[in-house]
Amino acid sequence: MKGFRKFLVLRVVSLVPTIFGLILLTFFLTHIIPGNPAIILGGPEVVSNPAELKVLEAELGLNKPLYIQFIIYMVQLLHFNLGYSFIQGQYISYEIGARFPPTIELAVAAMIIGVPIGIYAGIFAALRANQVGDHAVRITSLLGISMPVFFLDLLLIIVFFSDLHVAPSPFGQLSPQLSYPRTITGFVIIDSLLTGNITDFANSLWHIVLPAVGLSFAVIAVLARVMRSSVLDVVNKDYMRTAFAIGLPRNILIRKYALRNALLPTITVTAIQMGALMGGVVLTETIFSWPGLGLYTYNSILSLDYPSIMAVAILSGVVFVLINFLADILYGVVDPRVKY
Amino acid sequence: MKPDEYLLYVDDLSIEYTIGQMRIYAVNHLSFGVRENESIGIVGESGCGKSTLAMAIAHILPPNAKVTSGRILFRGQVIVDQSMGASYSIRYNAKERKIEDQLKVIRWKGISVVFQGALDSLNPVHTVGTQISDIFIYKENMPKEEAFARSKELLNVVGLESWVFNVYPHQLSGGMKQRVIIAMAISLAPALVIADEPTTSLDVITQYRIIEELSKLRKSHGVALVNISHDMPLISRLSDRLMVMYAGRIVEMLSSNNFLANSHPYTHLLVNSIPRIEEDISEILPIRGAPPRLRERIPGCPFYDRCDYREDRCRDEIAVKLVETEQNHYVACPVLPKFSSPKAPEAAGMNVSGYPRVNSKPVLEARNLTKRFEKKTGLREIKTSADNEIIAVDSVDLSVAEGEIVALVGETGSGKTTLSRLLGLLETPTSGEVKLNGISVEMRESKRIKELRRIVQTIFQDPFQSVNPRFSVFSAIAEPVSVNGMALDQNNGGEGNRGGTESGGNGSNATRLENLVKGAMASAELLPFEDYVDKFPHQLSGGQRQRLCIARGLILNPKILIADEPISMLDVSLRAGVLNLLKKLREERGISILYITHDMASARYLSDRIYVMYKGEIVETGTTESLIRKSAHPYTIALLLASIGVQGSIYETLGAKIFAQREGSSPEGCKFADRCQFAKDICFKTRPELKEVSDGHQSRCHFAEEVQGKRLTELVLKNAIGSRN
Repeated sequence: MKGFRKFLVLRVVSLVPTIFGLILLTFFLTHIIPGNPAIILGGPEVVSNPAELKVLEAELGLNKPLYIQFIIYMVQLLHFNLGYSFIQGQYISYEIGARFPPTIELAVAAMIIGVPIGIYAGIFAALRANQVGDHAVRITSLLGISMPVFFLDLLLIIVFFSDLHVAPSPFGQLSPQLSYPRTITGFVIIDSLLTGNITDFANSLWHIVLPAVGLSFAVIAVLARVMRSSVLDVVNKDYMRTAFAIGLPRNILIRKYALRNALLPTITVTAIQMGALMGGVVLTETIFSWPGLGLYTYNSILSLDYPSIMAVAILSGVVFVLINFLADILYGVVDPRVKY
Repeated sequence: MKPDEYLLYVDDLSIEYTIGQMRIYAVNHLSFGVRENESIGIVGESGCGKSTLAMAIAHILPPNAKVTSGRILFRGQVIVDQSMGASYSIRYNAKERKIEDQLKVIRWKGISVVFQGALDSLNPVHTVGTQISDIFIYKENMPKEEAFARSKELLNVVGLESWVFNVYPHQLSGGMKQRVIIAMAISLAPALVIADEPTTSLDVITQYRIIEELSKLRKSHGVALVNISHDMPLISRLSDRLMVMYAGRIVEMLSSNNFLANSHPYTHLLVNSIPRIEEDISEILPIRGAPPRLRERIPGCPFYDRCDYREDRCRDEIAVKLVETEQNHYVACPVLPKFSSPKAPEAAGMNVSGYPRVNSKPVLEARNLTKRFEKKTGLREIKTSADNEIIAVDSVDLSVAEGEIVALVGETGSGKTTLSRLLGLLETPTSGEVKLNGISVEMRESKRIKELRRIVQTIFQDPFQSVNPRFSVFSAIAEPVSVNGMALDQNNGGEGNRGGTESGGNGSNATRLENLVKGAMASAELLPFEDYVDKFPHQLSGGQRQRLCIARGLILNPKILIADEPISMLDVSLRAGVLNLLKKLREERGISILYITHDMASARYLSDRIYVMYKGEIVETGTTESLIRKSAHPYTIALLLASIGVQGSIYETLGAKIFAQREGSSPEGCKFADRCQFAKDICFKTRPELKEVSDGHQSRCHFAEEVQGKRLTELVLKNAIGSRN
């Protein structure tokens, strides 16, 4: 394990420059784009009064050179302080702390739905390569990849809420007549379970289905395609020929002998999809009024709330980097040949 | 021949592959039978259809293979015909499932396969134990515990210790993997085992062991064997009858103990195209051309294009019919020529006693050369040793004199390739020094290295991977000139231009470069120039590609060529050509060659001196004949006995200990002590030094004189020749 420990330490150390680069890029990108936060905050009266604008700029720290501003921002970040949003009159860490759990809940739900279905659809297609089933999966995948999330979400709402009345109204995590459970973890589903509030638990599950399905569609589509080619590739390998010659039962052949090998490339794709999901979340949350980061981002962008936008960008970036870090480790667990 | 006499009966079988628009006629109207407990060997080069035939019997051809005529019967039951096909498929459809149902009792219970173990034949993500016990669990509905116990028993039967049960395939050596596969093949006591190249890419000593293992199992389990191989002498040791295949047909069928008395020109060349250690040196015969690619049906004898004895009637369809010439000897040749016996060394113009021009001045020298690598382990692996370091090359001293051919012989993992990379200036040593032309090499001085690379050039093992597929023959051969920024002056043109035009040094740079390339191609026998110059690597055969690599090595007019297993990836019929070419290069250009190989026989054929390498160390060195006839190290003796291959000879002379698999003996002692029958206390305590046993003959053994005194190899050599006559 000495080798693995070394790998782990090196890998963790390599996270530092990656995340620093991420922060650097986010900071300068948000500061280069035109628009003066002081004007947005102060409104029309500041524009006509340059002295007042100067004062406001000094208050926001905008009068210092850019690199000084960056150093100040970095020091703040190292204290886990994401800054203060003047527009919302709120510390950003506090706001994000409250909005992060719903987003994670939604993303995880989408993965729970998307990953197994995607993998299964891939296998299903591979076993029927170039037959009807394969074509069906291919066409569905193409639709999933090409259809914008907001359009798909609207379709889901029209069909399942407006027409069939099987889904709850697309507003938030709980029906309005219910009260939120006591905050323990911040995750409504988990908190309601912990406090023994079965009504809330069932209701929150019911609410998460539609947005999660909408989000998972892209995951399913991409995974199905990767899995299909991966399975077809593995089936032609010498070790599968051995398993065929032995005459092992079909389900053992596929589930035990082909699947694990075929999953290897899928791990990487899943990690990348998790990242892509963060983008889809913004749109989905807006449509379903989901009180998460996505909706927050949307509102921040509309009001040009720079510190908040930066905080969200950095946070999603960090999440993305960490997921890929996990995928790297998972590789070693699934494939015994990976050496450290 | 009547089908019911046989356990397995192949009847007029033809198989085609479809690749895009192209068709490949892999097996053409082939018939033969295998009796209960009989062992037959199918011999042929790559692409002759032998593997297709084997995989068809096991019904595991890829989906693009089609049976176009005939059938295969196993115990009277049809297992392959036009409607059933011979392919496996993961497709989800009713027809496939019906066929699989019919084959359920045949697969593994009737016919099993020993796949080539060095390839990916075992699943990389499951442990060996899981893969063996799954056979019992899913084919015999055996409870888990019982299946585990049976699996461990099986591992013991093939001579593996029980820790193998818990590890992953990639943690095992090639020989151990091969034995795992043999264990799997006999698990359900089948009546027929197909061994597809069971020893290819294994070391000679392991090869020997696998062959013994398989013949033992044949006796103890009463199975019939179908052995596929390209190595006729090797496979004849395991088989009763041999079938020689060429271009998807059987050209000769004969009993294996007199395969030297063959009558088909192809068989004759195949036998005499590889040097054999047990015969005195005689010229090996190259076969011209390359095996056909079978893109179209060949009318008449398929060997016509390459045959020296061809006549017009060979073109007739009747020429491919097998005719019984003696009892149990069938030949498909209407000419049946008389072969002249291979020429004796003197008559062939060869020098047995060593090359006369050998100059004592060393071109290449290594002093105390050492290379260490860091060892890596996986998350799920159980560590097999405590070391974190691999010493690939361990204080090696070596020298090659001007105009000398020196062989470096060693098994996989002995460090011979690492050593060749150090000597070829492709890798930086951990310590020690390399000298070229007496100049000490400093790997950090990249400018000087570039100049020194003109003195030493390497030819790599795999001619398919070592040429850029997007380079034409011309640009591939010319590349070293441009990379090295060599001035195209007359000095460089001089010797390298031997085969080129007279106006070597004149004209523009372009014509000078062309002349250089022409010269190199002529030396490498890639002729005529116009036929090859614009071709791309994929249009060349393996032998032609290796000649391309040799031409590329020659163009800088180096003093020494390092040839790292240059023939091991080539078809048998093409090997002789490359070996003879290397010989000729030394003869004509006085170039030195370091020939790296695992094969004692070709080392003997080619070289003046031999170094034997074991676990990173040189264990014995001497002139070729002295080293072979008066070996003074037990390991060299083991290598020689294994390549002579007389049954039981290794066990008799060196004991079963020679096959010990345990790694890491005591760090102070002799590295070979665990496997050595003659080892005494001192061998486990003190590391022996290389010491002189006779003039120029050194051995790293405490008891070198004693071992040499036994004259073990000479005895067995005599024996082997005696038993042939």
